Amino acid sequence: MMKRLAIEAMRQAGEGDRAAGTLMNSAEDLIARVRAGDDEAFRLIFERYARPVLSFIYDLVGERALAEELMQETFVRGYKNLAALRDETKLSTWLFGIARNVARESLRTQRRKRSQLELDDPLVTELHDRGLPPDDRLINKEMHRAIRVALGTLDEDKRLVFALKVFQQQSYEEIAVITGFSMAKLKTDLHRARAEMRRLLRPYMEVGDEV
Amino acid sequence: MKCEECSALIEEYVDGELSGREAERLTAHLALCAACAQEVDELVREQELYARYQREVEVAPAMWQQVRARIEEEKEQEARSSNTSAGWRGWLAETFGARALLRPAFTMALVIIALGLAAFAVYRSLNTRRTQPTAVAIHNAQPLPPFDIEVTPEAPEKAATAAAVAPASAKRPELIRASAKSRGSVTKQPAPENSRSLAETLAEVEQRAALVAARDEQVAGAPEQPLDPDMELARHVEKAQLLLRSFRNVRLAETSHAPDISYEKEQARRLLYRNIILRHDAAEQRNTANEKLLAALEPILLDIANLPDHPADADIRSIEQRMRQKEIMTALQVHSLMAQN
Repeated sequence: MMKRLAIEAMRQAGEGDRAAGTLMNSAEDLIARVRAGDDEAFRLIFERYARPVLSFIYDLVGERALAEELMQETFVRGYKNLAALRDETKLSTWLFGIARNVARESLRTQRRKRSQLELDDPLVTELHDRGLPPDDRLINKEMHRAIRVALGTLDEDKRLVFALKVFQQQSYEEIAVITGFSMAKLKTDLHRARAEMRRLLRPYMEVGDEV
Repeated sequence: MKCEECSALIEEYVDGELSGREAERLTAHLALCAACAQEVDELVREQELYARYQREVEVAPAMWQQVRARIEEEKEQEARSSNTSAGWRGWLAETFGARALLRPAFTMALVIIALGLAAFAVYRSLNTRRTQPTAVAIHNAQPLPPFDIEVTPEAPEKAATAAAVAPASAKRPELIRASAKSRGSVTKQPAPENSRSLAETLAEVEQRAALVAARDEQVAGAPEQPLDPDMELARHVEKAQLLLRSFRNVRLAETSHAPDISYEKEQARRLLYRNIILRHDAAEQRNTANEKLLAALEPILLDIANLPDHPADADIRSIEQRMRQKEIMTALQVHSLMAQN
């Protein structure tokens, strides 16, 4: 019963996000105001979407300073191209699309350095060896680090769909728009990403259950 | 429902992506099958774990200040470029405006210039009649690409087709003037040297100058001269066609690795700004056809501008598919032909 309630709550959370567009200061209103020259409205857009965009980019690039820089680049590009946004109700999808492009461009140049860092990170070896779960006192800190490192081991496409679905709660349809992937590809990538993350994080999940 | 079917749908179920009927069937199965219910439990627990994930990033107030500063910087740059243009317009208005026309000396100067031009036009027209009609060679704007396309004034469509099927190795767009009345890149096949008149030579020099100007503009991205609105739109449409053809050729050119489209991206970005302005102009003038054409072109320019420098094949295909669906190339070609006529 609890399980079904939890699932229902997740579904409704997704619908709630969409319904928020009908409130005052909806995305459509804000975009109309920015197009009319009201920069304050763009600040509101920034305040609303900066956190999810920053989290998303961080999940893709794995470096804080770089993620912050790319988040700013995303909003500057968004501002410059706002006139070309076709469907105002899809502002977040559009911003995630820009963020994805900005992050991918950056990853191209960072790839060699990043892969070296990943290989050097002792936690990767630990995750692959399925070592013993860490001490309870460190569980949260370690778990966050473990998730970050595990994400970094996924290939770019899987990390992208996993971050959009699991962390950003985007629908499959929205993910298809953001990534340009077919529905079949994104479902396969998501399934494999989940399986890979599960394999890497199993010790933490078991401890999490006990806590 | 069997367990295999249920297992294949469990992730979509937890993600809230199943249709109502499928979700009901799966819920009914879960009530009876402990193993599948266990799978759902695990997925939900995973989701809860990920929901607790805290990243070491935070949106600091300074970030908005930095974004705003960069936006202001962009605006200033735009204002500077439009001020330069406004400055030229102001000078032209002052020089050729109504007040200037009232000055007798200025009016006299204009009359003399007009008479001179008329005399030159008559002289040139008389000399041109003596020469044979000539084929027009369309030259490439770039120094390297290896092919020229021969176009006669009667066959502009051939030029468009030839450009569309240009070798994929010629990655960059070619400057093609498909109309005899177009100003750029035209070299007449000369009549016998000893019969060349001064007017012919002048005409050729003028055409060569136009070729150089057009090539410089394309290569260096030099700012455009103020144009008649129709001419400006025609030139924009022509550039858009060149870009889209070049974009289409990119994938054909490089099959072994992700192609480099940084040039096309830059062009798309430039054209996008122009497109927005022209679309607004068309809307203000209630020119629905032009507005519709530019509105169809805009998202494609935006998509190309937002691609990474080395996009995946799927990204390129997706944009190409949209180009085909919107029949944008046809619409642009029709516009060009109508503008020429």
